[in-house]
Amino acid sequence: MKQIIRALGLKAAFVVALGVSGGTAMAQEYPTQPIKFIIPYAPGGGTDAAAAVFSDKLSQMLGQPIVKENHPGSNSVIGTALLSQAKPDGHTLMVVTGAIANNPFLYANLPYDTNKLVPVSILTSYPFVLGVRSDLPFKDMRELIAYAKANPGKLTAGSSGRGSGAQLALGLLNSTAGIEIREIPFKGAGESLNNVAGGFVDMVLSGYETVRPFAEGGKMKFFAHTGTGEMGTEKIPPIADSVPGYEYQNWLALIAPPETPSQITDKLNSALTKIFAEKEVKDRLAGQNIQGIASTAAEAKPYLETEMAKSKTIIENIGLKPE
Amino acid sequence: MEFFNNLDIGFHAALSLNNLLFCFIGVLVGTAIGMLPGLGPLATIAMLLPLTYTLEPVSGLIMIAGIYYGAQYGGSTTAILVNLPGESSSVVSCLDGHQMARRGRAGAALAIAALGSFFAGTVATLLIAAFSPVLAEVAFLFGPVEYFAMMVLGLTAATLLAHGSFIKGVAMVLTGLILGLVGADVNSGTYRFTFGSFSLTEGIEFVAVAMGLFAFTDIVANIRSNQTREVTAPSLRSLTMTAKEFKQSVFPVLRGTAIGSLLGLLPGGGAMISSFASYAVEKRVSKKPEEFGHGAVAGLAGPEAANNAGAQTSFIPMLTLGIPSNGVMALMIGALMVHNIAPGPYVMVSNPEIFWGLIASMWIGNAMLVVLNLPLIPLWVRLIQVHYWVLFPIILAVCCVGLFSIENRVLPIYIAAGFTVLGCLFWRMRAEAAPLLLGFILGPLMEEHFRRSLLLSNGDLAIFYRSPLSVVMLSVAAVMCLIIVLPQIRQGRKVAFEEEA
Repeated sequence: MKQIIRALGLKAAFVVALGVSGGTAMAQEYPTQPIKFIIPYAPGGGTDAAAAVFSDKLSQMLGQPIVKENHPGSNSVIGTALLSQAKPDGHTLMVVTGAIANNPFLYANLPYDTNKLVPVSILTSYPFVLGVRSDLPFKDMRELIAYAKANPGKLTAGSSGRGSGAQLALGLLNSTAGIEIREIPFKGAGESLNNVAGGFVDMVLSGYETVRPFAEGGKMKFFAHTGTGEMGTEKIPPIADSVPGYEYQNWLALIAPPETPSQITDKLNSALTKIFAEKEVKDRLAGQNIQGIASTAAEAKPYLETEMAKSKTIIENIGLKPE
Repeated sequence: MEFFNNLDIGFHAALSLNNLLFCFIGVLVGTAIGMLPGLGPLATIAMLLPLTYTLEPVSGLIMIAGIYYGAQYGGSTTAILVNLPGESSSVVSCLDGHQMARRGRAGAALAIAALGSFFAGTVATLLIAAFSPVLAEVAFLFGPVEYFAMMVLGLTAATLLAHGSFIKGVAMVLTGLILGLVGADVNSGTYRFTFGSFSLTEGIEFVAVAMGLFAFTDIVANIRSNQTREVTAPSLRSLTMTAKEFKQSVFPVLRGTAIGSLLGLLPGGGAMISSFASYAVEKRVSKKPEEFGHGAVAGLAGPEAANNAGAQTSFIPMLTLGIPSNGVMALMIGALMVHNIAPGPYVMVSNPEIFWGLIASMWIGNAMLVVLNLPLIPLWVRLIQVHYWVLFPIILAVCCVGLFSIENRVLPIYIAAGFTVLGCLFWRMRAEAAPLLLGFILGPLMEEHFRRSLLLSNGDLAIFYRSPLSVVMLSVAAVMCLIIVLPQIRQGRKVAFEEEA
């Protein structure tokens, strides 16, 4: 707490010294009213759960309630459009997945400019896990690649539809490894997982927590994951061990409307850094093999730009065009 | 042993304080709307649907289910007391039930209806519990191909077995199919019929369609019709029935339960058909058919048991196969999908607490209904006397709040308004809107599975006859079309001739 007060004091002094007016007074008092979190997905989804991890603590630190509002639709476009029209006073923010970096290359007429949005923080990142149905004639990633090379177009993988992370991660795997695993789109991860368990589709790239019950029940095997290094208690190897250079990370970011002053994002950043340093939060995330990041706004901007560049390449490789 | 294990999971879920409360709210609301003529369970559930979004899925379903079978009870009460069937399924109860009341046996009639329904409800609940796991074994046998075949079968059955004009049924299903296509296509991600607007990319909001077509249309239809109702509260001297009445009702209740349980399973079936069928059977097997219509105990006990059993077992196809047998079940599937639970055989495996919790709650709810219905009858009678000009504005306001809260925007309210106009049009045309809702939900699913099957087979249509399950279901659908369409054409001609004459 002392640290925050000192940091704020310094910042205020700095701002006064510079003689910047206007947003200053507001930033000092921020937040002056309840903060609205736009969740651009349907209620009850993974982003809701992730936001719950830190939103209560954040509201305690800032002394204002945080109200979640779900505005689902179009791979987060509808929620983002609302955010881009909100007042840049830090009282409207959005928790969004990496989809925000894919959308400029999927939609021809986005109702906002992604580059003008102000990323406050990259909150977490996590890799996909490759779950493969248990009755296939290979038992690790190397054999899977060899099989796929010998039988092009024979293996199938479930995805969550156009522009989804699973589709991009699969596209990247196909192009990096030089194989052809056919994509079968589903409405969500749940449906594609069921179809792999039932033996209709061969594999699925999905979050660790979603694959785990099937792996424990013996319907699926953890083959690999899309991050780096061994993962979790199961010691799941990274795909990069068999396909050098392969990496795909999902992430969650806190985004503010265009032209939000840095005083506000700084205040949010320092609170978030503290929250993600707490043992309870760390343990909760580690249990699900999620990495807490809580980057600063200065780090978040280039992160988003790099991710957008990566998404652009993958999406073009898959052959998707903006519609 | 597993049977008891499952029931244990179920009662564990259903007996939590929270779920008991929602069960109670469900049956209470159900009884209330069952008594109000015109306001049916379909309309009520459509209204309460947004509320269930924020609940645990199992609590939401328990409440919806409570409304559904609660309405069957409530409907019979008004039928007996004031000769007003609150529900279409209790039309039959008017015939002999009200006659009994007029002869001073109102209390006995109500007791027979309540206890008969309770018995039927218990048996049907046990049936669901016993047979559903058998169907669940096929859970993993269902892939895209089998799902497609099942949707074809479901849609065909729903269209053909629905009452009313066949052509209108087909037209409504097709309209539903087209409306269901709006939004992003799952397989290619292409936008269809969105006219470049981002607000339509997720498709037309299902709740808005249901509310417009059912709840709001009902209100408009009721305002148009005569609003004066005479309520003569009958004397409730005693709720006990005589030994003779009890004996007379035992076999009809048993037969009614059997008929209802069976007919409830059929798509397009459920409570109403069951009660009519039971009445017909009772009249046929009775030694004194001339008593029917003049207060025959069998004519009340049989249909009452049948409509409740039918209402309960119509959950089986929905819960195990994801096929809605009527509009209410279609709404329940919608409620499940909101919680990201794909309806189908897999629900039982992936969410046993939802499945068994719902089943256990049905039995608890039935017991609650007996308690609710007998002592509270004077209170219910007063409810019938509430004026529409008080009731309707409240309902409308609550609905609009609910519609707004789904996605925090006003568009669904406008969509519901549009569908109200459409619904009134359908009502004037005497076309039933339920098949439209089925088409709306099942159509896009059918297309999705069809195209996914072809993706898996690399475009080879042979995939549909390589699976024995799919062959059986598609053949049944084809045979059903043949059997029903042929007489329909003949009948259609006959009716046309009659009209000319």
